[in-house]
Amino acid sequence: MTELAHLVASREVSPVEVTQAHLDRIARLDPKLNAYVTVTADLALAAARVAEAAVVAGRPLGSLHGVPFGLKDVFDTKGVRTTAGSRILAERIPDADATVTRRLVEAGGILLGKLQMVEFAFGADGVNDRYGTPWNPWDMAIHRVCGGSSSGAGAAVAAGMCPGALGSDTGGSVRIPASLCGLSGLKPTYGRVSRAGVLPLAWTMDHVGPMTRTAGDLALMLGVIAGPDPLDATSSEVPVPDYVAALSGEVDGIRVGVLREYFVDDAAPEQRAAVEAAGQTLEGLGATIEDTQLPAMPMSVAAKQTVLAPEAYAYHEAWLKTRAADYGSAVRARILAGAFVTGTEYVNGQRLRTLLRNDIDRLLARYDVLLAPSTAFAAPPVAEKTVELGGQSVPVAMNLSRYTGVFNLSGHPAASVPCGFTAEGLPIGLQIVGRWFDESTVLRVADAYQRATDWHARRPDLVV
Amino acid sequence: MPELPPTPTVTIDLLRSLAVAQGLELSDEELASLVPLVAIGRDPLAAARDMPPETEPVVHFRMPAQLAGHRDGGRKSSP
Repeated sequence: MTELAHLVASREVSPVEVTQAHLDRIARLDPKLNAYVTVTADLALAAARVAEAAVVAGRPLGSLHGVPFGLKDVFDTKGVRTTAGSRILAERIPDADATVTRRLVEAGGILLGKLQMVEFAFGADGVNDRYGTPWNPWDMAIHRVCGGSSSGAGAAVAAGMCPGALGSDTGGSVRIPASLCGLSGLKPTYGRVSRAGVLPLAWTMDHVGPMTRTAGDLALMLGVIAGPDPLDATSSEVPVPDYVAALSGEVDGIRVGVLREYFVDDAAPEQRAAVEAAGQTLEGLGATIEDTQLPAMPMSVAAKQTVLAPEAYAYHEAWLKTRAADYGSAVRARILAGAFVTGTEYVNGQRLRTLLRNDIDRLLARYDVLLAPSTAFAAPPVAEKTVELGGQSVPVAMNLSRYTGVFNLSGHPAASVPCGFTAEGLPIGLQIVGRWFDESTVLRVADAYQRATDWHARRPDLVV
Repeated sequence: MPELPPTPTVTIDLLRSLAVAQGLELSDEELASLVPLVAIGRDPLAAARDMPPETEPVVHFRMPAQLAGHRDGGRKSSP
């Protein structure tokens, strides 16, 4: 995205050419990959022509001027169908843009379309029975999950069907598809980015974040969408720094804690080795690396289940009682589980979050960032509902979020960047966690790592 | 704090009675599929009931003091 923005601003490429090239790629690849719910080709080309006129006229340009992007189908788009991947909202057409939609467009971005997702964003495996499950571009022979719920965003960016996208992340739905699709993804601090106009899953755990190829592009997009919003009471007044300027390439003196127990130590061997190697790379760049632990981690399962599900149920109760058959069975069950959480259990789940957050804050008083795998294993085939992990057969959907959901509970910013590939050629993700509102350091470490490695630069072989 | 009695095991019958109380009509098959989903949160939560009693629910509106510009961690003091 950064490169495209420069090329447009310097008149080396035209917004219309860039947009048409992406639409052509979508037409060629999406019948197989199924990343888009809706392609807004006419709107995109019309916006591109306006953007081109602005360049020719020498008018001031926004930081994303003429750069295409995609939106998970959970972000409201004025006049464009927004389904949340559901049958319930299959024909819903919002009459206003989400705040982040508006900010991207005002920065000159060109919306290419709305991206596939898990129904109502409640699921980590990327599966959607209603609209189809996107195909992970890293294996064109076997239908593998993209992870998610922001599954379409993962497939689209990985396949070059858009250079960047926005996802939502309630338990890992930006970082998991970033990990499984070989992308960079960032879940910012809770409150850093407005959720206004974003269909909720769980209000106190929902985050909005960018998915791109590089940490530099994450910084560019975050700078556009971050900041207070009167339409979202949880959005923060904490000043927004210049994230791009923070990318110094330097990590000399940065203190890095590698989360061992419950994270690196119980990941699959290839994930474990890749994260350990990433730590060594950062050490070679001048960072200080130490192993550390998050003792409160076992509480995260109970906290997540007793907070996320009842918040989702509160939002869905009326539909579940009147249109239950319009939900997919897996998502309906996940939401219904929230009906059986008592008020006391919900409050105790919120109290456990305090302990988790305090535990992570204690670590981040000693370290500038924490490292962990983003996911315990690489993208499994859609047909496989369990994977082997640590000698046990574990459910895919539940275990894809085992390292990510804790930071939705705590609100800390966390990125996923590619850090290797399995023997099968599937991407592996490195999670980088920072202090509240210190996305700059997270992105700085991610960018420095990408300057020293080429995992993020590899592309899937997209023969269709 | 006095020790609490153990949390009841999650069963289909327990979920059925709770569902009826909330106006939810769920089949036995659906209730059976919900048992593990409910238990996965309830079981470890029961084990965590010995958390310090002074632990408050998470406060998402709390800003780090140095960022929010308040020495008291962002809380407003009484007038």
